[in-house]
Amino acid sequence: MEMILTTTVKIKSETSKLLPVKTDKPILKEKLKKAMKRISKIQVKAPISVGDIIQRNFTEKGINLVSTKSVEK
Amino acid sequence: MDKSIVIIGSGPAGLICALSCCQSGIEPSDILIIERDSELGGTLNQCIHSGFGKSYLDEVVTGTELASMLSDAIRQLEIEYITDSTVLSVDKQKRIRVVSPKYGYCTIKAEAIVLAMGCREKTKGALQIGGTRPAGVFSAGAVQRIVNLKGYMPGKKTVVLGSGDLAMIVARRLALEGGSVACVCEPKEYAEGSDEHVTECLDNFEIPLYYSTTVTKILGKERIEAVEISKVDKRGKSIKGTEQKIKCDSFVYQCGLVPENEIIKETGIRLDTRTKGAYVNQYFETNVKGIFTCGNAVRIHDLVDFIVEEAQIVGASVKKYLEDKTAKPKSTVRIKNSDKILYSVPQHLDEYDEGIEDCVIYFRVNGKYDNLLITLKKDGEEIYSREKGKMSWLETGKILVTKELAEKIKGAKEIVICAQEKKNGNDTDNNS
Repeated sequence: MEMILTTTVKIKSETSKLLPVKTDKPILKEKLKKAMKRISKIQVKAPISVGDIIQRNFTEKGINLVSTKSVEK
Repeated sequence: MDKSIVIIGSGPAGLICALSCCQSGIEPSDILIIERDSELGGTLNQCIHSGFGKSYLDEVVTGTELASMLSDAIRQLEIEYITDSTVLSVDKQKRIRVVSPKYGYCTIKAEAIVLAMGCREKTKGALQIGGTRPAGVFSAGAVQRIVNLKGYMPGKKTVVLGSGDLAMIVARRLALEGGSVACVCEPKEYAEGSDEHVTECLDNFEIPLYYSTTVTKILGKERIEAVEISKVDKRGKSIKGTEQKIKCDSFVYQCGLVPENEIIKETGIRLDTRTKGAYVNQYFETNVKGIFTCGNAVRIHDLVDFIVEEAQIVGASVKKYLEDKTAKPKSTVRIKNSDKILYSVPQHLDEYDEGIEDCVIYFRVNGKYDNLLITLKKDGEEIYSREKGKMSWLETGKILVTKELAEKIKGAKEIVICAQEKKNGNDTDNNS
């Protein structure tokens, strides 16, 4: 089973506590737990735009974690 | 303050309506969008999951990505919008009383208004669950908001009641964030949401789904400690002796959505008790000329796709209205429903010079059927028929009024949408 992982990461911003993100390709179910653990350690800073790569080659080469929202400040 | 077009609500309905007004030739500077939240997007802002855009975009995106695309388009056209702004009331004369950081308390006089306020969740009282009222009890939409926007979990061990798409998406979200979802209880014998969601949200995350099961008691003093679940019979009545206690520190229920139309009380707009939204014609105009409505404020939609369609119709409708505000329909055809049809929208067709050709009638059925035949009857005579096959209340059915059908409908005071279930090639009932 593969799925596009959609979740949130912490963001330092005046307007938001969280930034919604997704993997730009589906990842295997077996990798979800590790992926979520890795995500819990990420913190980004505003400004961020939709599509910005938060982490390249996230669970494996070729799959990136990208932002699904724009946060200006 | 005067403004030509005021759109109340900036969810997908409101935003697409604004864009569609511009596509129809309306000047962007004639439009004002009023939003009570601090950003545009409405419910889309808490929908971080994917699945949006199947029928109207080239790609499938998350709710937040769709909100972003639409908001960017609004800003690019320089359509004015005010956020953190609450509409207090709307009246027959199209005056809107609103409080906003930008204008303070003011009254806006509009030429045309689009009501796109969306919906809210029904409250737990609708569920009639006994027991105590401790902390730790949440509605599914509220949980989606606190997890996705605020970063709080409802608890560590959760019981979910309801198997609609929202409940299943929330159950998966909790499991992904390290929560333990003890089970999802569904009073019916089948899931309320789609089969895909049962697989993708529950089976794939090993979350047990108990059919014919409901939550009968909430237990706990200050914080919830457990729920009592019971099996229910076909009528939804709990079966004595099947009670089971499940320890938990949070209980999430999904009990349905309802259109949010409180602010239109002074407008004299008639509301349909079945949809809880306004009576509309095929232009999505209410009985007050120049006040239109679309999206979840009209009826609860399961997919944004249909909201997109409606909002696009409204753009053209508003333009047409502004061109001739005094235009009166030549005739009106009421659309009635026979049993098995939960409701249909629009509730009536108004015939102007361009006729009723190409308009769409949306409808829903009241259960799960395997072999449905949908017909339209005029004075007892069948003027349209379509074998729909499988259909459940989840789906929205569409009847396109073709040139031929429009000719047949001509002259009718009312038409009736009927649904018959065929078993073994024979009609099981004859309703008119």
